[in-house]
Amino acid sequence: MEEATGAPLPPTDDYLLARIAGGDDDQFHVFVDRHKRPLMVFIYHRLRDVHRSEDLTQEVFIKAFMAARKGNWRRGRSVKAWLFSIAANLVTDSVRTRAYRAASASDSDPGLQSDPSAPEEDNPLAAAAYAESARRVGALVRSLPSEQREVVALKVFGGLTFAELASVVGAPEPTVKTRMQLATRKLRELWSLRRPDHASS
Amino acid sequence: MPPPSQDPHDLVQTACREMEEGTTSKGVESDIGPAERRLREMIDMGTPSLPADFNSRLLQKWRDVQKALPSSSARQWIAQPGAVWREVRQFIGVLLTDRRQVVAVALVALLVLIGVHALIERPIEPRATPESRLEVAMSPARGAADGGAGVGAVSAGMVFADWHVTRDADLETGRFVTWPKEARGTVRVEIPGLDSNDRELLHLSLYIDNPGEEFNLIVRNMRPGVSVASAERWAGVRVRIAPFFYPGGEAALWKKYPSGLHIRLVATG
Repeated sequence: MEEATGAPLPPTDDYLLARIAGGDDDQFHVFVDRHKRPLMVFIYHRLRDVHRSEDLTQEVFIKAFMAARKGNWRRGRSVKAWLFSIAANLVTDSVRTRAYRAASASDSDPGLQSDPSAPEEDNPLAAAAYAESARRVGALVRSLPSEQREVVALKVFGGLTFAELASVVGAPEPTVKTRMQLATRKLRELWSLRRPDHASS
Repeated sequence: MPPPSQDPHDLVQTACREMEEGTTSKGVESDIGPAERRLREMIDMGTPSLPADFNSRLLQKWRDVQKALPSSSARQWIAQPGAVWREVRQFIGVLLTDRRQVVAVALVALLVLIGVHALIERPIEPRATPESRLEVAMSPARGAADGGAGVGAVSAGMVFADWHVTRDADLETGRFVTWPKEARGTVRVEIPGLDSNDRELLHLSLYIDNPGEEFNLIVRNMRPGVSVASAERWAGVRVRIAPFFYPGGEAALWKKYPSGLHIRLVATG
């Protein structure tokens, strides 16, 4: 399968999933590499527990592979949206069953400090500022009402489109957009209150 | 990674504005703007990496899971009871020469199989897990303040939260109830006047209210008429009760009940 330019098209998620379900280990790595990072980002910023997030990311793939093997997935549906549906459910279950409490916005966040594989940056100060801002954005998102929080987390952390979002949360696209609008407005207000110059005054 | 000169505060503000505007745009949707893209990159940078051996560990786990799954031949057996019957008859036929004996023993074996199958398929009674337990009532003082009926001691039949929900109600906030320390028993959601066919349209979710943190979900999809067991660990804890409408069902619900609905939480003992 090639384009007119001769460049090979990347295999589709449907194709990869079918191959993995059939025991193809080569395609396994292609599929996992494509989705593991967005899933980890989404789960981590909901739970703030790096080890638990790794476990749940792994769990998402196992559930997806098992469903694919049993034929319990619809071809043509966005595989990415489906993976995030699984991830969202696992996060909710994790919060519920373990009475998980999101880490407060403290400096002792183990997730950010104990990561030995963090990439080296050319500008450590800028990198630290972005990491700190990312942590604070995550904390603000977690303070939103559940419906809004889910939509924002999937959009910002997961990178889903509105169509995919609607598929994940099981609501019409206009409803998702309304939630998103309310959430971003609230986020912007909360964020402006957290400016260092604002806080110091 | 965002350019180093970009102020993270401005970036977040701009990205939020972009996303807000994106939700109101008509026509072809542009799902991601430049600021939102940079915001995602910033968040990605602030997220720990997965371990280098993530793929290999996942692959190993997947192989283990596959080994534990029933083989294709076993699944075929389960899917085709006729094949089982033929195998049983052939097996017994080797041991027995009399045709009538073969049929009799095969019938007994089949009955045993049917019995085992019925046992496996028997529905499992739902059990309340520790995670799904609830406290049942609110203190008198907080009762009045939070919009409940203000009932003190807890006993069966007592209404400890009662509010009128309409189309314009503040559903994002829900209602807050503080469980009393001495609360025991179970709690049930009652919505008088709600047609039994509409029960699926309106659920309740319960969250622990931690100011400044996210609401921790205790129970979701609590349907009208369903009792939930109590627990002591939420004693004295402030809990938010939020209605949840089945997607697409909200409009139909309010069309049928234009004057709104009373939602009550009742102690069932």
